[in-house]
Amino acid sequence: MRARNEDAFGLLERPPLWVVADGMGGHAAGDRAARIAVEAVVGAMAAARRAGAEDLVAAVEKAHRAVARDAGADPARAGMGCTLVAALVAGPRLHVVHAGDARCYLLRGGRLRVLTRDHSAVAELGSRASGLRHVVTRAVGVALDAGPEYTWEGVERGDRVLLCSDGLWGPVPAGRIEGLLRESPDPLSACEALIEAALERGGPDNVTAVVAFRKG
Amino acid sequence: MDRWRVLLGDREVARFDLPEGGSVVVGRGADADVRIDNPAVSRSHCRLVRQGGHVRVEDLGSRNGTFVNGVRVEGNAPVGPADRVTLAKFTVQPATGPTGRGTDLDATVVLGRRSGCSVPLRRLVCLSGRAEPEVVELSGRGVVRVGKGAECEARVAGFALGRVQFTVLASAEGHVIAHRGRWRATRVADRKIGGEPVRLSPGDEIVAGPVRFRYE
Repeated sequence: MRARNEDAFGLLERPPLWVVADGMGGHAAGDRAARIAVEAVVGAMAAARRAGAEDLVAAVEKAHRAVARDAGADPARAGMGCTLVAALVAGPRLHVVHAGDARCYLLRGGRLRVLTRDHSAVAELGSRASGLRHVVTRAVGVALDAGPEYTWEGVERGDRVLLCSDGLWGPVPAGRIEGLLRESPDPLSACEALIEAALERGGPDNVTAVVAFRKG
Repeated sequence: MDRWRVLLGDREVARFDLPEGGSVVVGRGADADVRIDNPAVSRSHCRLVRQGGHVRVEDLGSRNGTFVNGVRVEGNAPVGPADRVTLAKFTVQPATGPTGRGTDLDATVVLGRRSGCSVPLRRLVCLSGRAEPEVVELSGRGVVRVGKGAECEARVAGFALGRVQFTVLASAEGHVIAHRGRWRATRVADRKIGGEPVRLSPGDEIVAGPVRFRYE
């Protein structure tokens, strides 16, 4: 499995782990929050023995505390945080934990499915108001009272997994994501094609995506 | 003094009626009128009798004793509306008002940052065996690990239980439970569970070796 992207992400080979974070709360502070969160998750998972879903959720909670602590150290960073999605392969299962509107997609049998449920005003209130489009209801570092959310899926041969920020799924329609993931010969070209598609459609600079293929 | 309840800490674990002229046996045995499934409670622990508007409690030769306001009952003792009867870690007392506090607690909701959505308070209550704490709050936590290890949010004691015996995770569809131990099984509602997460329903009993919890 291979992957690539731009901006705040993290990868681990053992256990197989992928993390994508998208910062918010002022440009510099947002980047910092995303980086701290990703480092905290990767660090905690690298240290976990027989890592399972509980370690991943605990790692995201740890990242939340790390970001909140860092934000408290400097008034300029007050309110910084990030959306985050992390996926772990443990035995026969893919464990996914997320906060905010970062998403995890699964392409199986040529069909694309989103495994995560956005924590956003739009998703939860059903509102299409443009003023609410960027309002997330949970975020690492600032609003995690409800905890991160966990979901899982059995892993099958040929599965393709995409973790991404709203910079990708916002401008690129699901059908296009499905097509690009399906037609790419390897994760690297899939990632490049997806990011290119986002930038073509006027996506922001901080498009972050991680793609992983399970051997067919 | 018609309605009574049994509390563990501030949690109601049972309630019963004590009509005029009636009597109720509290104990661990299957033939007790009010069952408390805890090893520190004797099979027939004590009897509450209501006669002529007065309630008396009689110790039925229990091993660990019956207490009224902390004073051990020798034979029998009167119980007033403000008195507390205790056996092991359980308190038996009249329910105040037509609806007891348990009902209020069940109706309690937390309005999170997810405006418009409400999340019911959920917890694990230890019914038997040793667990620290005995009431484990789940709300606002992404994961609760139960086991012998220091990393667990709820520590339990019992032969061959795992460092992490099972975990409860917050998913989009409510709490799910997954077995993580190596030697002893974890059962939910009398069914052995594996590593595949299983949805919890309020009232489910979770058993691992000598420890028993109820999800509520």
